[in-house]
Amino acid sequence: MNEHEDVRRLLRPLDTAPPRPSKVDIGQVVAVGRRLRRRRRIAAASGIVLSTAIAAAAVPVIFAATTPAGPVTAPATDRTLTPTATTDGTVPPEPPAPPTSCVPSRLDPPVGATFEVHDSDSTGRFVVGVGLVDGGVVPLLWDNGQFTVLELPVDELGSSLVVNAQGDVAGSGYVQDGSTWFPTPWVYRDGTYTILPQLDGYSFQEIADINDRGDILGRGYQLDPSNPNARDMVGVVWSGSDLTPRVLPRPAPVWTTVWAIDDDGTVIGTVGTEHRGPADSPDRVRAVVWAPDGSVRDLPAPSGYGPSTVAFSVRNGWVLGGYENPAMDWPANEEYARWYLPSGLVEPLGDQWRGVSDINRHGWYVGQVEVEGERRAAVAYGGEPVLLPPPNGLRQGTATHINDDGTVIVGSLKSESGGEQPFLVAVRWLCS
Amino acid sequence: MGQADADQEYTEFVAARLGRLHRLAYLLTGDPHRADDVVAQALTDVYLKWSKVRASDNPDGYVRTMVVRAFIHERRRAWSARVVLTEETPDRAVPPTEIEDANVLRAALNRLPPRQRAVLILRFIEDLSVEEVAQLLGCSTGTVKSQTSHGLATLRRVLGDAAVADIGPGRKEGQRERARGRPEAAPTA
Repeated sequence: MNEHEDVRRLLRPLDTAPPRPSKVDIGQVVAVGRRLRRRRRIAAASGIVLSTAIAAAAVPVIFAATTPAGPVTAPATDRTLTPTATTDGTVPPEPPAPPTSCVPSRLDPPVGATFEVHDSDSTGRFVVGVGLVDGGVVPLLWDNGQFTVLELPVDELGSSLVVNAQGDVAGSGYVQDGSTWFPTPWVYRDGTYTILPQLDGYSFQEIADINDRGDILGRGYQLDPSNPNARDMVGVVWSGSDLTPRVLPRPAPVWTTVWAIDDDGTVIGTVGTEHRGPADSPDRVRAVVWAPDGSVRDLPAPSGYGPSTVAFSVRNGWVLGGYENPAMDWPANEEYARWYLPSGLVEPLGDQWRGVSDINRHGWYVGQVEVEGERRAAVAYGGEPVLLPPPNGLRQGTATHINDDGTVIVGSLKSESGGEQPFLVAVRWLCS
Repeated sequence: MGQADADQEYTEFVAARLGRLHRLAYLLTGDPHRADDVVAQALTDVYLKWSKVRASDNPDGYVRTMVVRAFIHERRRAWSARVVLTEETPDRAVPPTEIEDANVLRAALNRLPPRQRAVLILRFIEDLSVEEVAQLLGCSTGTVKSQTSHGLATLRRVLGDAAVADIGPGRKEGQRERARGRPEAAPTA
């Protein structure tokens, strides 16, 4: 049997039909195409290549007015938890009064159909993501209304882009040398791109976060010189001052996935990968905190819950994540929660959340809730979730980022079929 | 041809091919939702270039090219912002007779850069020649061959020698790779 046939045989299991038919609406494609054609003609006629353009569908909406007739929150359950007692009397600072209304607007790039948001900074001034222009991907930095195209020092963009309050942007990509692609993390700051240094014995591949003092959090592999195929994922922090890489110690020799870094250097992430199996297995996924003093500790679930825990976002001591409800089967056993690290406080967020993405310095968080069968973008100020009003023509989606004072929220909404819309629309809410 | 007529023609053309295009996108992405996004992007591009597409010698090939290129340029969506570079990967090497789980193969393929993944799928599942793949991707035949070689070498590393024995050039890499999947608690839509 020749090589071609061998590979065909190997890959044959992939040659299956999709599990469902396409949901692409051709009428919607035509509508979007018409709109793009018009926009290009206008841009060509005016000589505009890239400029500020926020299609304002701004309709002030009071939160309460967006609440459907039925209750926003899910029915009460008997799974309510009492937050764990604080060990040292520390309580979270009293947050300021939260905003009471939000105005949505679309973050449409002036050219191309889509702007995919990857990150927004703690002030809400910057947004980074990619635009899809003429079938190609263009990395974009949005600064208070102005789009800038990033000219990356790599041949192909890799993972998501991240941005901090100084406008520093970090990301990863691939540099091609012949037929080999080299993973290449980079940072853009003070107008200059810098390739982030690697360390012997490691291959740093992807950027996870950047904090406001410029520390960059990444992921990579620890290589085993005695076995080229053995590799485990580790976390790395490049110092904001001189970009020196420091590999985070692992509490156990298991797969480690870092997610976010706080301004004081605290890192949160997960170790292990298994959601099932023996509770004491080292592979059971659990959330971990790397403190600035170098210590590493688990993020505990409330009594009666766990052992699996996860963490996604950290800000000013607040951590957004979740834990396992052992009474449910995976993956429905995940319950979202927030922790306050200085006190050990942990609070469940409620059953209506279908995803949570970001938490700010006051412990306010954003994500997606399910309401009457719809998945809607929402924010919570420590209590019940509040729906974010969509711009005209959009409905379902998720909020992905919230700034420190809660006045700027960013997210992505899916367009309803039949309208002249891209398929996924970046949305920014200004709240007051 | 007026715009209304052109739109009607376009609609009929792509509607007839939607299923096949979605299947191709699903092969490339391994995910029906992402496949829809890729197809939608490609069909938008096709719409904007419809006069060129309909005038080409091979409109079908042209449209398939747009799907592959949309996939190569696709980047993960905000919906999956918490997905890590290594998704579900096999934690042990398996001999070819045991590779019946497409998820294992898919996880291995997902570790390749998009162009390499597209090259392997187009050559070995879509059964296109080296020349056809080169034309489709807009590169030289030498690049297709080298990307094939590199892609197969990576598959060997991920799946283990036993699974990818005797295929393609490349070094014997010894023992299996120990790779694990990501936590599944990511908040996605």
